[in-house]
Amino acid sequence: MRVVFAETLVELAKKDERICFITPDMGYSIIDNFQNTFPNRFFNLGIAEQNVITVAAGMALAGFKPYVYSVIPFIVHRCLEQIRVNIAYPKTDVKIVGIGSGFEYGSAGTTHYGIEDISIIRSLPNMDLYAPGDMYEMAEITKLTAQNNHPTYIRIGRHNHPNMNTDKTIKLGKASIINKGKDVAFIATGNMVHVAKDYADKLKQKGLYPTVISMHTIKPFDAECILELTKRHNLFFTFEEHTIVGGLGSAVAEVLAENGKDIKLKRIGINDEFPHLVGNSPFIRHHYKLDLEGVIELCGI
Amino acid sequence: MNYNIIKSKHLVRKAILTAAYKAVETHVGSALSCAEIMEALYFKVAKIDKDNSQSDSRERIILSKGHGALAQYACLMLKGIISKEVFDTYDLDGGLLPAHLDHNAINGIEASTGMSLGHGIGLAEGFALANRLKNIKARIFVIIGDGELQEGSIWEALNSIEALNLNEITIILDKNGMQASAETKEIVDISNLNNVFKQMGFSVEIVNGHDVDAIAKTLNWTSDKPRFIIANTIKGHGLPKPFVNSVKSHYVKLTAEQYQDALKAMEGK
Repeated sequence: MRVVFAETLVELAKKDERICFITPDMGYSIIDNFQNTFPNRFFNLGIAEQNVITVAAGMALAGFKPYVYSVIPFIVHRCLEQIRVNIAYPKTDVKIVGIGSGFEYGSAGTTHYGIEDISIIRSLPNMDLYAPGDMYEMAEITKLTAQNNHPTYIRIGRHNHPNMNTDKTIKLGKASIINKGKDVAFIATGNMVHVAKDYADKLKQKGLYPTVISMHTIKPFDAECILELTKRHNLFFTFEEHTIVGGLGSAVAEVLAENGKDIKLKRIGINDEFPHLVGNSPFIRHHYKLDLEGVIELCGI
Repeated sequence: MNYNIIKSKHLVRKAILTAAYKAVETHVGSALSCAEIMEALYFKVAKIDKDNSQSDSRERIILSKGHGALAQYACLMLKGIISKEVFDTYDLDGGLLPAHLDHNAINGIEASTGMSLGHGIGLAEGFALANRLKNIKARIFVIIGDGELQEGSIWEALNSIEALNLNEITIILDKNGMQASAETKEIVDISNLNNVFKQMGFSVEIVNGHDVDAIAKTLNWTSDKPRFIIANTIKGHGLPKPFVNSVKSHYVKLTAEQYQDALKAMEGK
Protein backbone atom coordinates (compact mmCIF):
# COMPACT_ATOMS: atom_id res chain seq x y z
CA MET A 1 0.00 0.00 0.00
CA ARG A 2 2.82 2.38 0.89
CA VAL A 3 4.60 1.52 -2.35
CA VAL A 4 1.42 2.18 -4.34
CA PHE A 5 1.15 5.56 -2.66
CA ALA A 6 4.81 6.39 -3.28
CA GLU A 7 4.79 5.32 -6.93
CA THR A 8 1.52 7.14 -7.61
CA LEU A 9 2.97 10.27 -6.07
CA VAL A 10 6.03 10.08 -8.33
CA GLU A 11 3.74 10.01 -11.38
CA LEU A 12 1.71 12.94 -10.05
CA ALA A 13 4.83 14.94 -9.25
CA LYS A 14 6.05 14.58 -12.84
CA LYS A 15 3.05 16.62 -13.94
CA ASP A 16 2.65 18.89 -10.94
CA GLU A 17 5.74 20.82 -9.94
CA ARG A 18 4.11 22.01 -6.73
CA ILE A 19 4.25 18.53 -5.20
CA CYS A 20 6.95 18.17 -2.53
CA PHE A 21 7.69 15.46 -0.04
CA ILE A 22 8.68 16.29 3.53
CA THR A 23 9.58 13.55 5.95
CA PRO A 24 10.70 13.32 9.57
CA ASP A 25 13.19 10.61 8.60
CA MET A 26 10.50 8.10 7.58
CA GLY A 27 9.91 6.25 4.35
CA TYR A 28 13.35 4.70 3.99
CA SER A 29 13.42 2.68 0.73
CA ILE A 30 9.70 3.31 0.08
CA ILE A 31 10.25 6.87 -1.04
CA ASP A 32 13.64 6.48 -2.75
CA ASN A 33 12.16 6.83 -6.19
CA PHE A 34 10.64 10.21 -5.33
CA GLN A 35 13.87 11.36 -3.72
CA ASN A 36 15.95 10.29 -6.72
CA THR A 37 13.54 11.69 -9.30
CA PHE A 38 12.91 15.01 -7.57
CA PRO A 39 15.85 15.68 -5.24
CA ASN A 40 14.98 19.38 -5.07
CA ARG A 41 11.48 18.63 -3.86
CA PHE A 42 12.41 16.07 -1.24
CA PHE A 43 13.21 17.17 2.31
CA ASN A 44 14.21 14.97 5.20
CA LEU A 45 14.01 17.37 8.15
CA GLY A 46 15.11 14.83 10.71
CA ILE A 47 13.16 13.35 13.59
CA ALA A 48 11.14 16.49 14.19
CA GLU A 49 7.51 15.85 13.31
CA GLN A 50 6.08 19.10 14.61
CA ASN A 51 8.55 21.06 12.54
CA VAL A 52 7.70 18.96 9.49
CA ILE A 53 4.08 20.07 9.81
CA THR A 54 4.92 23.76 10.21
CA VAL A 55 7.44 23.70 7.34
CA ALA A 56 4.84 21.99 5.14
CA ALA A 57 2.28 24.62 6.11
CA GLY A 58 4.72 27.40 5.23
CA MET A 59 5.39 25.84 1.83
CA ALA A 60 1.67 25.42 1.20
CA LEU A 61 0.98 29.04 2.16
CA ALA A 62 3.57 29.96 -0.47
CA GLY A 63 1.79 27.92 -3.16
CA PHE A 64 3.28 24.43 -2.95
CA LYS A 65 1.58 21.10 -2.34
CA PRO A 66 3.60 19.29 0.31
CA TYR A 67 3.07 15.67 1.34
CA VAL A 68 4.20 14.68 4.80
CA TYR A 69 4.59 11.09 5.80
CA SER A 70 5.14 9.22 9.04
CA VAL A 71 3.73 6.68 11.46
CA ILE A 72 0.26 7.76 12.58
CA PRO A 73 0.81 8.64 16.26
CA PHE A 74 4.01 10.50 15.40
CA ILE A 75 2.53 12.70 12.69
CA VAL A 76 -1.03 13.04 14.03
CA HIS A 77 -1.08 12.82 17.80
CA ARG A 78 2.22 14.54 18.42
CA CYS A 79 1.50 17.35 15.98
CA LEU A 80 -2.13 18.06 16.74
CA GLU A 81 -1.71 21.75 17.51
CA GLN A 82 0.44 22.30 14.44
CA ILE A 83 -2.14 20.51 12.30
CA ARG A 84 -5.00 22.43 13.85
CA VAL A 85 -3.49 25.90 13.60
CA ASN A 86 -1.26 25.65 10.53
CA ILE A 87 -3.20 23.24 8.32
CA ALA A 88 -6.88 22.88 9.25
CA TYR A 89 -7.67 26.45 10.26
CA PRO A 90 -5.95 28.29 7.39
CA LYS A 91 -6.91 25.49 4.93
CA THR A 92 -3.37 24.93 3.73
CA ASP A 93 -2.97 22.38 0.96
CA VAL A 94 -0.97 19.89 2.97
CA LYS A 95 -1.52 16.16 2.54
CA ILE A 96 -0.68 14.19 5.66
CA VAL A 97 -0.08 10.51 5.05
CA GLY A 98 -0.19 8.42 8.21
CA ILE A 99 1.12 4.89 7.92
CA GLY A 100 0.46 1.85 10.10
CA SER A 101 -3.30 2.26 10.57
CA GLY A 102 -4.76 0.12 13.34
CA PHE A 103 -2.46 -2.68 14.47
CA GLU A 104 -0.28 -2.77 11.35
CA TYR A 105 2.82 -2.17 13.49
CA GLY A 106 1.86 -5.20 15.58
CA SER A 107 5.13 -6.15 17.23
CA ALA A 108 6.30 -2.53 17.53
CA GLY A 109 3.83 -2.09 20.35
CA THR A 110 1.14 0.25 21.58
CA THR A 111 3.30 3.32 20.97
CA HIS A 112 3.02 2.74 17.23
CA TYR A 113 -0.64 1.83 16.84
CA GLY A 114 -2.84 4.16 14.83
CA ILE A 115 -6.11 3.64 16.62
CA GLU A 116 -7.41 7.08 17.61
CA ASP A 117 -6.52 9.11 14.54
CA ILE A 118 -9.91 9.00 12.84
CA SER A 119 -11.65 10.53 15.85
CA ILE A 120 -8.93 13.14 16.29
CA ILE A 121 -8.80 14.31 12.68
CA ARG A 122 -12.57 14.01 12.21
CA SER A 123 -13.06 16.63 14.90
CA LEU A 124 -11.00 19.24 13.04
CA PRO A 125 -13.02 21.47 10.72
CA ASN A 126 -11.80 21.74 7.09
CA MET A 127 -9.89 18.45 7.16
CA ASP A 128 -10.69 15.70 4.65
CA LEU A 129 -10.04 12.16 5.89
CA TYR A 130 -9.48 9.02 3.80
CA ALA A 131 -8.81 5.40 4.66
CA PRO A 132 -8.30 3.32 1.51
CA GLY A 133 -9.09 -0.37 1.82
CA ASP A 134 -7.12 -1.78 -1.10
CA MET A 135 -4.40 -0.85 -3.58
CA TYR A 136 -6.87 0.44 -6.14
CA GLU A 137 -8.46 2.79 -3.62
CA MET A 138 -5.00 3.83 -2.48
CA ALA A 139 -3.95 4.83 -5.99
CA GLU A 140 -7.26 6.50 -6.85
CA ILE A 141 -7.45 8.47 -3.62
CA THR A 142 -3.87 9.63 -4.05
CA LYS A 143 -4.65 10.82 -7.58
CA LEU A 144 -8.01 12.41 -6.78
CA THR A 145 -6.91 14.24 -3.63
CA ALA A 146 -3.92 15.67 -5.53
CA GLN A 147 -6.42 17.49 -7.75
CA ASN A 148 -7.88 19.52 -4.90
CA ASN A 149 -6.34 21.96 -2.47
CA HIS A 150 -7.98 20.72 0.71
CA PRO A 151 -6.15 19.98 3.93
CA THR A 152 -6.11 16.19 3.86
CA TYR A 153 -5.26 13.22 6.03
CA ILE A 154 -4.85 9.78 4.47
CA ARG A 155 -4.45 6.84 6.85
CA ILE A 156 -2.96 3.83 5.22
CA GLY A 157 -1.97 0.30 6.09
CA ARG A 158 1.01 -1.80 5.21
CA HIS A 159 -0.93 -4.74 3.83
CA ASN A 160 -1.18 -6.03 0.26
CA HIS A 161 -4.68 -7.50 0.15
CA PRO A 162 -6.02 -8.09 -3.34
CA ASN A 163 -8.22 -5.39 -4.81
CA MET A 164 -11.89 -5.56 -3.87
CA ASN A 165 -13.16 -2.25 -5.14
CA THR A 166 -14.26 -2.59 -8.77
CA ASP A 167 -15.84 0.86 -8.89
CA LYS A 168 -14.24 2.38 -11.99
CA THR A 169 -15.31 5.85 -10.99
CA ILE A 170 -14.35 6.26 -7.36
CA LYS A 171 -15.48 9.62 -6.09
CA LEU A 172 -14.10 11.37 -3.06
CA GLY A 173 -16.79 11.65 -0.44
CA LYS A 174 -18.87 8.82 -1.96
CA ALA A 175 -18.73 5.35 -0.45
CA SER A 176 -17.98 2.42 -2.77
CA ILE A 177 -20.17 -0.66 -2.90
CA ILE A 178 -18.04 -3.80 -2.75
CA ASN A 179 -20.89 -6.35 -2.54
CA LYS A 180 -24.46 -5.43 -3.28
CA GLY A 181 -26.93 -7.33 -1.09
CA LYS A 182 -29.86 -6.81 1.24
CA ASP A 183 -31.04 -6.94 4.87
CA VAL A 184 -27.59 -6.70 6.44
CA ALA A 185 -25.14 -3.87 5.76
CA PHE A 186 -21.42 -4.11 6.46
CA ILE A 187 -19.82 -0.66 6.46
CA ALA A 188 -16.07 -0.99 6.68
CA THR A 189 -13.03 1.17 6.31
CA GLY A 190 -9.30 0.68 5.72
CA ASN A 191 -7.86 -2.60 6.93
CA MET A 192 -11.29 -3.99 7.77
CA VAL A 193 -12.80 -3.86 4.28
CA HIS A 194 -11.32 -7.22 3.32
CA VAL A 195 -12.52 -8.81 6.57
CA ALA A 196 -16.04 -7.55 5.96
CA LYS A 197 -15.95 -8.83 2.39
CA ASP A 198 -14.62 -12.25 3.39
CA TYR A 199 -17.33 -12.51 6.02
CA ALA A 200 -20.03 -11.49 3.57
CA ASP A 201 -18.79 -14.02 1.03
CA LYS A 202 -18.88 -16.71 3.71
CA LEU A 203 -22.43 -15.81 4.68
CA LYS A 204 -23.62 -16.64 1.17
CA GLN A 205 -23.46 -20.30 2.23
CA LYS A 206 -26.13 -19.47 4.79
CA GLY A 207 -28.26 -17.73 2.18
CA LEU A 208 -27.41 -14.27 3.54
CA TYR A 209 -26.24 -11.52 1.23
CA PRO A 210 -24.94 -8.56 3.20
CA THR A 211 -24.13 -5.39 1.34
CA VAL A 212 -20.48 -4.47 1.84
CA ILE A 213 -19.49 -0.82 1.71
CA SER A 214 -15.96 0.54 1.63
CA MET A 215 -16.13 3.86 3.43
CA HIS A 216 -12.82 5.07 2.03
CA THR A 217 -13.78 8.67 2.69
CA ILE A 218 -14.61 9.32 6.31
CA LYS A 219 -14.76 13.06 5.96
CA PRO A 220 -16.70 14.50 4.24
CA PHE A 221 -18.94 11.66 5.37
CA ASP A 222 -21.31 10.04 2.88
CA ALA A 223 -24.49 10.31 4.97
CA GLU A 224 -26.55 9.83 1.83
CA CYS A 225 -25.14 6.32 1.41
CA ILE A 226 -26.09 5.43 4.98
CA LEU A 227 -29.64 6.71 4.53
CA GLU A 228 -29.96 4.88 1.21
CA LEU A 229 -28.87 1.65 2.91
CA THR A 230 -31.67 1.99 5.46
CA LYS A 231 -34.19 1.34 2.66
CA ARG A 232 -33.19 -2.29 2.10
CA HIS A 233 -31.25 -3.13 5.27
CA ASN A 234 -32.29 -3.23 8.91
CA LEU A 235 -29.12 -4.56 10.55
CA PHE A 236 -25.92 -2.53 10.28
CA PHE A 237 -22.39 -3.44 11.30
CA THR A 238 -19.47 -1.05 11.12
CA PHE A 239 -15.92 -2.36 10.92
CA GLU A 240 -12.84 -0.33 11.74
CA GLU A 241 -9.40 -1.10 13.11
CA HIS A 242 -9.72 1.89 15.39
CA THR A 243 -11.31 2.82 18.68
CA ILE A 244 -15.09 2.71 18.57
CA VAL A 245 -15.03 6.17 20.19
CA GLY A 246 -15.52 8.79 17.52
CA GLY A 247 -14.58 6.77 14.45
CA LEU A 248 -16.52 5.26 11.55
CA GLY A 249 -19.09 3.57 13.78
CA SER A 250 -19.78 6.83 15.57
CA ALA A 251 -20.21 8.64 12.26
CA VAL A 252 -22.75 6.04 11.10
CA ALA A 253 -24.56 6.14 14.46
CA GLU A 254 -24.83 9.93 14.26
CA VAL A 255 -26.48 9.76 10.84
CA LEU A 256 -28.92 7.02 11.89
CA ALA A 257 -29.87 8.65 15.17
CA GLU A 258 -30.33 12.14 13.82
CA ASN A 259 -32.50 10.89 11.00
CA GLY A 260 -34.71 8.85 13.32
CA LYS A 261 -33.89 5.55 11.64
CA ASP A 262 -34.96 2.43 13.49
CA ILE A 263 -31.93 0.36 12.60
CA LYS A 264 -29.99 -2.09 14.69
CA LEU A 265 -26.33 -1.08 14.71
CA LYS A 266 -23.27 -2.77 16.11
CA ARG A 267 -19.87 -1.10 16.00
CA ILE A 268 -16.99 -3.50 15.54
CA GLY A 269 -13.68 -1.94 16.52
CA ILE A 270 -11.39 -1.56 19.47
CA ASN A 271 -13.11 -0.95 22.77
CA ASP A 272 -12.13 2.06 24.83
CA GLU A 273 -8.89 0.62 26.16
CA PHE A 274 -5.17 0.59 25.37
CA PRO A 275 -3.88 -2.64 23.91
CA HIS A 276 -0.77 -3.91 25.60
CA LEU A 277 -0.11 -7.25 24.02
CA VAL A 278 3.14 -8.40 22.49
CA GLY A 279 2.87 -10.01 19.09
CA ASN A 280 2.48 -9.56 15.37
CA SER A 281 -0.56 -7.94 13.77
CA PRO A 282 -2.52 -11.17 13.15
CA PHE A 283 -2.09 -12.14 16.80
CA ILE A 284 -3.19 -8.72 18.05
CA ARG A 285 -6.14 -8.64 15.65
CA HIS A 286 -7.17 -12.11 16.74
CA HIS A 287 -7.15 -11.06 20.39
CA TYR A 288 -9.34 -8.04 19.61
CA LYS A 289 -11.62 -10.14 17.41
CA LEU A 290 -10.84 -8.06 14.37
CA ASP A 291 -10.00 -11.02 12.12
CA LEU A 292 -12.54 -13.13 10.26
CA GLU A 293 -13.02 -15.57 13.13
CA GLY A 294 -13.44 -12.71 15.59
CA VAL A 295 -15.99 -10.74 13.62
CA ILE A 296 -18.04 -13.88 13.01
CA GLU A 297 -18.24 -14.29 16.77
CA LEU A 298 -19.00 -10.62 17.45
CA CYS A 299 -21.60 -10.25 14.72
CA GLY A 300 -23.22 -13.57 15.51
CA ILE A 301 -25.04 -14.03 12.23
CA MET B 1 2.76 58.33 6.06
CA ASN B 2 6.29 59.68 6.21
CA TYR B 3 8.36 57.56 8.56
CA ASN B 4 10.03 60.59 10.15
CA ILE B 5 6.64 61.64 11.47
CA ILE B 6 5.88 58.13 12.70
CA LYS B 7 9.20 58.02 14.48
CA SER B 8 9.24 61.51 15.96
CA LYS B 9 5.67 61.27 17.18
CA HIS B 10 6.10 57.70 18.50
CA LEU B 11 3.08 56.60 16.53
CA VAL B 12 3.77 52.86 16.77
CA ARG B 13 3.85 52.91 20.56
CA LYS B 14 0.92 55.31 20.75
CA ALA B 15 -1.20 53.07 18.56
CA ILE B 16 -0.31 50.08 20.75
CA LEU B 17 -1.16 51.94 23.94
CA THR B 18 -4.42 53.33 22.66
CA ALA B 19 -5.68 50.00 21.33
CA ALA B 20 -4.63 48.27 24.53
CA TYR B 21 -6.41 50.87 26.60
CA LYS B 22 -9.63 50.35 24.66
CA ALA B 23 -9.44 46.57 24.92
CA VAL B 24 -10.73 44.64 27.88
CA GLU B 25 -7.43 43.16 28.90
CA THR B 26 -4.43 42.48 26.71
CA HIS B 27 -0.79 41.51 26.32
CA VAL B 28 0.34 45.09 26.11
CA GLY B 29 3.66 44.50 27.89
CA SER B 30 4.61 41.87 25.31
CA ALA B 31 3.73 44.20 22.43
CA LEU B 32 5.71 47.11 23.87
CA SER B 33 8.66 44.81 24.38
CA CYS B 34 8.93 44.20 20.63
CA ALA B 35 7.53 47.52 19.36
CA GLU B 36 10.88 48.91 18.16
CA ILE B 37 11.90 45.59 16.66
CA MET B 38 8.70 45.59 14.60
CA GLU B 39 9.09 49.29 13.77
CA ALA B 40 12.65 48.73 12.53
CA LEU B 41 11.57 45.73 10.45
CA TYR B 42 8.56 47.36 8.83
CA PHE B 43 9.99 50.82 8.25
CA LYS B 44 13.74 50.40 7.86
CA VAL B 45 14.58 46.83 6.92
CA ALA B 46 12.05 44.53 5.23
CA LYS B 47 10.89 45.08 1.67
CA ILE B 48 7.21 45.06 2.38
CA ASP B 49 4.57 47.68 1.76
CA LYS B 50 0.97 48.18 0.78
CA ASP B 51 1.59 47.28 -2.86
CA ASN B 52 3.65 44.12 -2.44
CA SER B 53 2.12 42.74 0.76
CA GLN B 54 0.53 39.86 -1.17
CA SER B 55 3.31 39.40 -3.70
CA ASP B 56 5.39 36.22 -3.78
CA SER B 57 8.58 38.23 -3.60
CA ARG B 58 7.76 40.16 -0.42
CA GLU B 59 10.01 39.90 2.56
CA ARG B 60 8.14 38.23 5.35
CA ILE B 61 7.85 39.17 9.01
CA ILE B 62 6.58 36.42 11.29
CA LEU B 63 5.85 37.35 14.87
CA SER B 64 6.15 33.92 16.43
CA LYS B 65 5.38 35.36 19.85
CA GLY B 66 1.87 36.02 18.60
CA HIS B 67 0.72 37.52 21.88
CA GLY B 68 2.72 40.59 20.83
CA ALA B 69 0.23 40.92 17.95
CA LEU B 70 -0.62 44.52 18.73
CA ALA B 71 2.89 45.63 17.74
CA GLN B 72 2.45 44.03 14.32
CA TYR B 73 -1.07 45.38 13.83
CA ALA B 74 0.17 48.90 14.67
CA CYS B 75 2.93 48.66 12.04
CA LEU B 76 0.58 47.20 9.42
CA MET B 77 -1.83 50.07 10.05
CA LEU B 78 0.86 52.75 9.84
CA LYS B 79 2.20 51.13 6.64
CA GLY B 80 -1.30 51.33 5.15
CA ILE B 81 -1.50 47.53 4.75
CA ILE B 82 -4.56 47.49 7.01
CA SER B 83 -6.87 50.42 7.53
CA LYS B 84 -7.22 52.50 10.67
CA GLU B 85 -10.84 51.37 10.83
CA VAL B 86 -9.76 47.73 10.96
CA PHE B 87 -7.04 48.50 13.48
CA ASP B 88 -9.53 50.21 15.73
CA THR B 89 -11.48 46.95 16.11
CA TYR B 90 -8.59 45.28 17.94
CA ASP B 91 -9.82 42.89 20.61
CA LEU B 92 -13.33 44.39 20.57
CA ASP B 93 -16.53 42.36 20.29
CA GLY B 94 -17.23 41.69 16.63
CA GLY B 95 -13.83 43.13 15.62
CA LEU B 96 -11.37 41.80 13.07
CA LEU B 97 -8.17 41.61 15.06
CA PRO B 98 -7.87 39.02 17.82
CA ALA B 99 -5.36 39.29 20.65
CA HIS B 100 -3.18 36.63 19.01
CA LEU B 101 -2.16 36.73 15.37
CA ASP B 102 -4.67 35.10 13.07
CA HIS B 103 -3.75 34.32 9.48
CA ASN B 104 -7.41 34.14 8.50
CA ALA B 105 -8.21 37.57 9.92
CA ILE B 106 -6.59 40.07 7.55
CA ASN B 107 -3.96 40.44 4.85
CA GLY B 108 -0.48 41.00 6.17
CA ILE B 109 -0.41 38.26 8.78
CA GLU B 110 1.77 35.46 7.44
CA ALA B 111 0.53 32.79 9.85
CA SER B 112 -1.46 32.27 13.01
CA THR B 113 0.86 32.32 16.00
CA GLY B 114 0.82 32.71 19.73
CA MET B 115 -0.90 29.46 20.62
CA SER B 116 1.40 27.32 22.71
CA LEU B 117 4.25 29.10 20.83
CA GLY B 118 7.20 27.76 18.87
CA HIS B 119 5.67 27.59 15.37
CA GLY B 120 7.15 30.65 13.68
CA ILE B 121 10.58 29.39 12.71
CA GLY B 122 9.24 26.24 11.06
CA LEU B 123 6.80 28.32 9.04
CA ALA B 124 9.67 30.58 8.01
CA GLU B 125 11.58 27.54 6.80
CA GLY B 126 8.59 26.50 4.70
CA PHE B 127 8.46 29.98 3.15
CA ALA B 128 12.22 29.90 2.54
CA LEU B 129 12.11 26.48 0.83
CA ALA B 130 9.20 27.64 -1.32
CA ASN B 131 11.13 30.77 -2.31
CA ARG B 132 14.13 28.69 -3.29
CA LEU B 133 12.03 26.47 -5.54
CA LYS B 134 10.63 29.62 -7.15
CA ASN B 135 14.05 31.31 -7.41
CA ILE B 136 12.90 34.16 -5.24
CA LYS B 137 15.47 35.86 -3.05
CA ALA B 138 13.75 37.38 -0.05
CA ARG B 139 14.66 37.60 3.58
CA ILE B 140 12.38 36.20 6.24
CA PHE B 141 12.38 37.60 9.77
CA VAL B 142 11.03 35.70 12.76
CA ILE B 143 10.58 37.31 16.14
CA ILE B 144 10.51 34.93 19.08
CA GLY B 145 10.29 35.48 22.81
CA ASP B 146 12.87 34.29 25.31
CA GLY B 147 10.24 32.28 27.20
CA GLU B 148 9.33 30.76 23.84
CA LEU B 149 12.78 29.18 23.69
CA GLN B 150 11.42 26.63 26.15
CA GLU B 151 9.25 25.14 23.40
CA GLY B 152 10.77 21.98 21.93
CA SER B 153 9.56 22.79 18.43
CA ILE B 154 11.86 25.86 18.43
CA TRP B 155 14.84 23.53 18.68
CA GLU B 156 13.51 21.22 15.98
CA ALA B 157 13.36 24.26 13.73
CA LEU B 158 16.74 25.69 14.71
CA ASN B 159 18.39 22.37 13.92
CA SER B 160 16.97 22.22 10.43
CA ILE B 161 17.70 25.88 9.56
CA GLU B 162 21.34 25.06 9.94
CA ALA B 163 21.03 21.70 8.17
CA LEU B 164 19.23 23.26 5.19
CA ASN B 165 21.53 26.29 5.25
CA LEU B 166 18.59 28.68 5.18
CA ASN B 167 20.62 31.86 5.59
CA GLU B 168 17.76 34.00 4.30
CA ILE B 169 16.17 33.52 7.72
CA THR B 170 16.92 35.94 10.54
CA ILE B 171 15.66 35.16 14.01
CA ILE B 172 15.24 38.01 16.43
CA LEU B 173 15.01 37.10 20.07
CA ASP B 174 12.92 39.59 22.02
CA LYS B 175 14.81 39.00 25.23
CA ASN B 176 12.82 40.74 27.93
CA GLY B 177 13.58 38.20 30.62
CA MET B 178 9.94 37.76 31.54
CA GLN B 179 7.25 35.27 30.78
CA ALA B 180 3.63 34.77 31.79
CA SER B 181 4.17 33.88 35.40
CA ALA B 182 7.76 34.66 36.37
CA GLU B 183 11.15 35.92 35.32
CA THR B 184 12.48 33.64 32.59
CA LYS B 185 15.73 32.96 34.47
CA GLU B 186 13.74 31.59 37.39
CA ILE B 187 12.29 28.94 35.10
CA VAL B 188 15.04 28.24 32.59
CA ASP B 189 18.24 30.25 32.72
CA ILE B 190 19.23 31.05 29.14
CA SER B 191 22.13 33.37 29.91
CA ASN B 192 24.62 30.91 28.45
CA LEU B 193 22.78 30.19 25.25
CA ASN B 194 24.59 32.72 23.03
CA ASN B 195 27.41 30.27 22.45
CA VAL B 196 24.97 27.48 21.76
CA PHE B 197 23.42 29.46 18.92
CA LYS B 198 26.88 30.20 17.54
CA GLN B 199 27.83 26.56 17.68
CA MET B 200 24.61 25.64 15.96
CA GLY B 201 25.84 27.65 12.98
CA PHE B 202 24.17 31.01 13.48
CA SER B 203 25.78 34.38 13.19
CA VAL B 204 24.88 35.86 16.59
CA GLU B 205 24.67 39.58 17.38
CA ILE B 206 23.38 41.47 20.38
CA VAL B 207 21.48 44.74 20.05
CA ASN B 208 19.49 47.20 22.16
CA GLY B 209 15.95 46.12 21.34
CA HIS B 210 14.47 49.56 21.90
CA ASP B 211 16.82 51.43 19.56
CA VAL B 212 15.22 51.39 16.11
CA ASP B 213 18.34 52.65 14.30
CA ALA B 214 20.63 50.15 16.01
CA ILE B 215 18.26 47.29 15.25
CA ALA B 216 17.95 48.35 11.62
CA LYS B 217 21.72 48.65 11.25
CA THR B 218 22.23 45.16 12.65
CA LEU B 219 19.48 43.62 10.55
CA ASN B 220 20.73 45.17 7.34
CA TRP B 221 24.14 43.54 7.58
CA THR B 222 24.51 40.65 5.26
CA SER B 223 25.79 37.29 6.35
CA ASP B 224 26.49 33.97 4.73
CA LYS B 225 25.01 32.27 7.78
CA PRO B 226 21.48 32.30 9.17
CA ARG B 227 21.34 35.05 11.75
CA PHE B 228 20.27 35.06 15.36
CA ILE B 229 19.86 38.55 16.80
CA ILE B 230 19.52 38.89 20.53
CA ALA B 231 17.56 42.06 21.21
CA ASN B 232 17.70 43.09 24.84
CA THR B 233 14.31 44.49 25.69
CA ILE B 234 12.13 45.51 28.60
CA LYS B 235 8.71 44.02 29.03
CA GLY B 236 6.13 46.77 29.36
CA HIS B 237 8.66 49.34 28.10
CA GLY B 238 7.14 52.80 28.51
CA LEU B 239 4.28 51.74 30.76
CA PRO B 240 3.79 53.22 34.24
CA LYS B 241 6.28 51.90 36.76
CA PRO B 242 4.48 48.93 38.28
CA PHE B 243 4.25 47.37 34.82
CA VAL B 244 7.78 48.00 33.60
CA ASN B 245 10.01 44.95 33.59
CA SER B 246 7.32 43.06 35.40
CA VAL B 247 5.18 40.01 34.78
CA LYS B 248 2.29 42.31 35.67
CA SER B 249 2.38 43.69 32.14
CA HIS B 250 1.84 40.30 30.49
CA TYR B 251 -1.90 40.66 30.61
CA VAL B 252 -3.24 43.97 31.72
CA LYS B 253 -6.12 46.43 31.67
CA LEU B 254 -4.82 49.99 31.76
CA THR B 255 -6.77 52.60 33.73
CA ALA B 256 -7.39 56.02 32.17
CA GLU B 257 -4.72 57.49 34.42
CA GLN B 258 -2.15 54.84 33.55
CA TYR B 259 -2.88 55.34 29.86
CA GLN B 260 -2.44 59.13 30.10
CA ASP B 261 0.73 58.75 32.16
CA ALA B 262 2.20 56.41 29.57
CA LEU B 263 1.39 58.83 26.75
CA LYS B 264 2.96 61.71 28.67
CA ALA B 265 6.07 59.70 29.45
CA MET B 266 6.44 58.97 25.76
CA GLU B 267 6.38 62.67 24.93
CA GLY B 268 9.04 63.22 27.59
CA LYS B 269 6.67 65.29 29.72
